[in-house]
Amino acid sequence: MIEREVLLKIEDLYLNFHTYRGEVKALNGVDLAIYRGEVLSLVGESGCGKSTVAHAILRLLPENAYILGGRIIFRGEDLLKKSGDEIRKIRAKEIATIFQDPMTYLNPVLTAGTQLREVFDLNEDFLKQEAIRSLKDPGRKPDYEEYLTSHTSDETAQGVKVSNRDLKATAERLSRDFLTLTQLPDTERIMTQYPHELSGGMRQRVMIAMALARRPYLLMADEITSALDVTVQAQILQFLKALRDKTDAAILFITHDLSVAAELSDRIAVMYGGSAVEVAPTAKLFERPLHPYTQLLQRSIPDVRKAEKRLDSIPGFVPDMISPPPGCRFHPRCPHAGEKCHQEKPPMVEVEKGRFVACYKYEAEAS
Amino acid sequence: MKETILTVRNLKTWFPLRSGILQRISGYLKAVDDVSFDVMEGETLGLVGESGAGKTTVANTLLRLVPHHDGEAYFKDTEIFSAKGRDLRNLRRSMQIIFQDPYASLDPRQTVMSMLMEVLRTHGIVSDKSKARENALELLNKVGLSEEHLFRYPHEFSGGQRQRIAVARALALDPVFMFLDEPTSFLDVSVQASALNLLKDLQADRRLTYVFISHNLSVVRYMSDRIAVMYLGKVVEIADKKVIYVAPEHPYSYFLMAAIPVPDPTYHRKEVLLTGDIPSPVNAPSGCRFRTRCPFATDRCASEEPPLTEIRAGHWVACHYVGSLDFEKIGVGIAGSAA
Repeated sequence: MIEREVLLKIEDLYLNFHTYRGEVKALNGVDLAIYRGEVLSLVGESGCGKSTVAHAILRLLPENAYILGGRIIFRGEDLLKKSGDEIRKIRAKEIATIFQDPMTYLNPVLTAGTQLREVFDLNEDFLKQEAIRSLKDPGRKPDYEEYLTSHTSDETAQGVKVSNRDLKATAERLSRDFLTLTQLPDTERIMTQYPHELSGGMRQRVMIAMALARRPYLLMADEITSALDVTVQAQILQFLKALRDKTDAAILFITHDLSVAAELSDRIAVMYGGSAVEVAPTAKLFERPLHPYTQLLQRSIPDVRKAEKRLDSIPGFVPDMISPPPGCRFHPRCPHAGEKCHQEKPPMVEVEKGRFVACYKYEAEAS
Repeated sequence: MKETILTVRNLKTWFPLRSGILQRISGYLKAVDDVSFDVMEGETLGLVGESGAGKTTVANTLLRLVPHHDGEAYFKDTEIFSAKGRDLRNLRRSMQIIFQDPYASLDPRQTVMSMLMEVLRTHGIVSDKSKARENALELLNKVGLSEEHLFRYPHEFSGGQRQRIAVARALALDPVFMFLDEPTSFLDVSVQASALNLLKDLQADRRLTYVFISHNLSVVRYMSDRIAVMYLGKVVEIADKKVIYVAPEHPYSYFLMAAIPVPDPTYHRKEVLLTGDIPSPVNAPSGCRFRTRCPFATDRCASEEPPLTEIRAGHWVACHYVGSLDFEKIGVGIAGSAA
């Protein structure tokens, strides 16, 4: 097996939110790596910190958030040390995000087309390169393979002058191309429509088109199918699966639904109480979950194929992050908890190639 | 043979749309349009469908929380929409609902104790304070909470605990029938299972009848005995769960079952062909309402509305071409049949 290239690495990230009730210890030493071209699902319940991880990567944190320690290395550089301008450039071209509720991220007074075209204002090199190409070859067909696998633009285009009219026409053409890519029917009409005129599934596709148009190295999708109906969710998942095979961008797929993660991801990271507790290839995680939380979680979700079996329930409740339990944050609900679990947070260890787990149960197994 | 506890016939809930300065009624949003079904004593009927299908409106109408437009419904022998006085009071005691959002359905300014007391007093079940406290405590224990929770306010509880309080409040009146409107969709996965098991145990204990409303088809299969599938204000199919998850007959049910995500990476779903979204109920398609998304639709579907017909004992389908549709041919597989 070839050693895969690490695209993004989060090391020992600690983050608190300052609230009037006290410090919310949201991230408690997150360790995570995302490889180039893979789909990594971040699975966990509300409050486990999965969305906070995404927000921290993009530095889209609210004012009351404090990063206490750790690093986020993206393509060799620490994102936490970037200036405001640098991080904005990264958001424009390198890391794109799609959120759960597209209505709050789309501008209600601009048409879908206008908002798509704006993406290319931030990505001038790409727009220019495409403009030159279509001038040379007026009947040019969209080159989806290049759209999805290349992240930089042709440097020879830089010196050439292109008229504003040509740039505009190209932005229009590219917007349509990216919308078509998301399998939206009737793209011409959707370009002229406002967000409120579109259905939930269509809005989510417009958001996906805007994200792909940035030609990112990393695409983060935060609960993007959770608000959709099952049939529409299935359409979007199907599209993402097809996309996974075509693009070499990495996808960080954040969800609370293990079933959805099972369908899409190459690897899964399970989060609980502010840190990753288990990271494994998808098939292995389902075949033999290691962390007690993952094991219980897997047995507590209903599977439509085995409806008659009584579900196991996990005792207790999700921890309060203002005064979380000491040591391993899962210990009050864990059937295997021992003395050590009450005192010290178990470190993440590699128990076999590519399988990481943070639990004292496996301390002996780790090499 | 089980007794029928709830009979719904031709139920219509239309919300008037008004326009102009005189606010004349210019049309209707037909949230529930000509729906009929029965619920048997002691069973759980699952009501499934996508958002906008009218599932919640059916529950709200039958509890008289929203006015009905037409049709009738009988709870045992009482006609629900014409009930008055004592009959209505009895109905309200017998039929309860658990709402989806436990953050909105509990009064933030009342302690658990006063919430439960209010219910018990309003219906004159207990007048004596110490007896009421005893009663309240018993209810809390039933739903897995304890005495220490009695004098707390809703904000001191987690979502799972709040939903348990809502269950306790509903049980206070000793109902025989409960609508469960997405009772776990606000809960985290790790507490969902214990909430579902609690509802199942209570049902067995108290011989309750449930109508379980959810868009999560795996949860519905776990909870229900029979399933009614709704689409855009209509019931399109009713059948035993063993039938509907394995061999649904209505094309919409088929696509719905095909779209269920399965928590198993080795399961490979066949292509899902259902395109587009649910149309607006304000101007619903003519004829069969599913025809705009149905791959089998013909001219007949546009002109003629298919009635809900019993194709075999207990299996009702509303489709002109039921039985002659070749689902295999369009290449869709369903997970339920893999069991």
